[in-house]
Amino acid sequence: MNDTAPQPDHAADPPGPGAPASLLLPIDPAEFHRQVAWGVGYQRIALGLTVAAIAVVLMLPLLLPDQDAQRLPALLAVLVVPAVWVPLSMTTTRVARALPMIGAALAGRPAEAERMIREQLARKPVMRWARLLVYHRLATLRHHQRRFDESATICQLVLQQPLAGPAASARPHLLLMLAEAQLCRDDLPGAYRALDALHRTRLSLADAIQRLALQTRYALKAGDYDHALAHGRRKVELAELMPAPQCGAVHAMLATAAHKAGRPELATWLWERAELLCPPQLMLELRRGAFEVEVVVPQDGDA
Amino acid sequence: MNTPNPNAFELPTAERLARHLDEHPPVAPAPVRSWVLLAIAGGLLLISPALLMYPVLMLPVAVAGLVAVGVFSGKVQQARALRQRVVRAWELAMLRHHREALRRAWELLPLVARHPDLHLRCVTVFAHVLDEQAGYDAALVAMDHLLERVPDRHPMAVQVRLQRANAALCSDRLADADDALRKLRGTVDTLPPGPLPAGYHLARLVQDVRTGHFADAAEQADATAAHLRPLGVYAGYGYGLLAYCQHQTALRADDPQAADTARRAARRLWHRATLLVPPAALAFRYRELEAMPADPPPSPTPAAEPHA
Repeated sequence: MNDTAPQPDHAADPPGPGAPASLLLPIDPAEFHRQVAWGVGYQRIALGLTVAAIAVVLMLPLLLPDQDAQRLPALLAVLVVPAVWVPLSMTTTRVARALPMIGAALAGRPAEAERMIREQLARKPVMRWARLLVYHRLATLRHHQRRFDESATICQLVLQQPLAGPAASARPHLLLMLAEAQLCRDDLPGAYRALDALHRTRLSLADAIQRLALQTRYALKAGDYDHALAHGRRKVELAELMPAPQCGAVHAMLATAAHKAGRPELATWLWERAELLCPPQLMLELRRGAFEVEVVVPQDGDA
Repeated sequence: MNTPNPNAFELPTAERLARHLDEHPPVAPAPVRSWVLLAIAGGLLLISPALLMYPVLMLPVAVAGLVAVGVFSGKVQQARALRQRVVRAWELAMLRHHREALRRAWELLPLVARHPDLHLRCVTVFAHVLDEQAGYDAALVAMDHLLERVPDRHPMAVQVRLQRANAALCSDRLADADDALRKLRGTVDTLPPGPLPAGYHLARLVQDVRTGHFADAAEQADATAAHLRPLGVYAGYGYGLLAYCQHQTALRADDPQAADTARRAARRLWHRATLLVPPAALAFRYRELEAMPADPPPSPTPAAEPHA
């Protein structure tokens, strides 16, 4: 992962859709580490107290032979366990319940998602996995807002933590977001590291398809056209599983690679397919150079 | 060592699939589980004075608690593994490893009876694969099973009803399909442009072809082609059928100029169709398309290239 990610530059970024820049939650790595460490520390103390309580209960007959004398320490030992675990479990459960609601608000109601994330980040104590999943949602929100500097920073921060339990399932998505954010920031080494990590991660079919699109885009940016076209048949088959616009965009990227690699027939075939798959608005964007696409195929009006 | 051939799995007949679904219906999670938890909590409350009186009794209670936690986490792991297997079967179906996907879903169905969502997913694999493999009678059984269990307004229900209408048309159940498409029209009209309305337009096109309304379909060809775009490569089937309608219009035209125009339109649409779907797959899905002339020559797919 990129360890030297630049700090977010709020002034330079245009405010993303949904909320003005001044209302956005600031991304502070020190605060992130503090929050995670707080939860981990609390959890360790709770675990230690639980072990101590069990040990006390077990050793009471040895330490205090009189049964009447055992009652008060036993009661205290038994009460300590819920006293430390119940607050942790309750706040973690509240955060976990809010996660699907944040997810539902991410695309259409970013201001509401921002408010919910702010609320959940303010809760204490929270288990590490829940805290990391809230940050995952924040990274997704920033990604939707096209604030790629912040999105990449959060992804890197979360990926540096051990992602265990329910948080483990967020790893592929974090890496995909990181790779795309790095490509949008023209940070090719950073994108390479994210793609490399994706290749070492077990992915679902949906994630593998997203990786294919990012990898093709990376190869185009890096000028590695032969690599973009390697295993072309499989790439086209996987792209066909995407929704039509994304499928068309991948075809346009592959057509550019084929043209640059000196394979005009393949380029024509891919470009004609792209024209059939992409809606007119996207085709216009591709012709203007979106996703590193270059219009390379003469239009014969056939497709 | 001989490994079993994944393609050796036979497509089930409609009767066999119906029997399999009847033998392994989805079972709702037993409500008794929550009563068990309540009983345990009540029991602990009852014996709590005794536990405080004799703290050493907490040891067996703690051991029982640990065993319960172990059993519960084992069950959770088992459910997670089962979910992964069902997802894998679905992914194989998407990747067109149809027989292997079908075999896996078939074997998983008895295991997922207590997980209604996974059960539904297995039946979705049956419906998708059987539809793709032209096992329309059995596909209709799977689709009916889905429609009985998915709420009417759910987007998945609309999608399954569209697929069902298409499968009914492909197996010449024209009245059945006509009824389904009439009912769907109101729903589809309220939807924004996307794969569902596109699927509806494809089904209407298949209906026109199967009922011989070639001229009507040819007249609307440009508008229909625009509607089909959100289907992605599956729009190729629609372009193929439109080409067939134009081809038939050309054959029936009295005016040589009109015939020529229709023939050129057919060639253009057939080119589009074969760009997206191989001609053999087009003819496998819609038998009429076997009659289309093999012009233009096959396109240079990446498979034909040295890097493929």
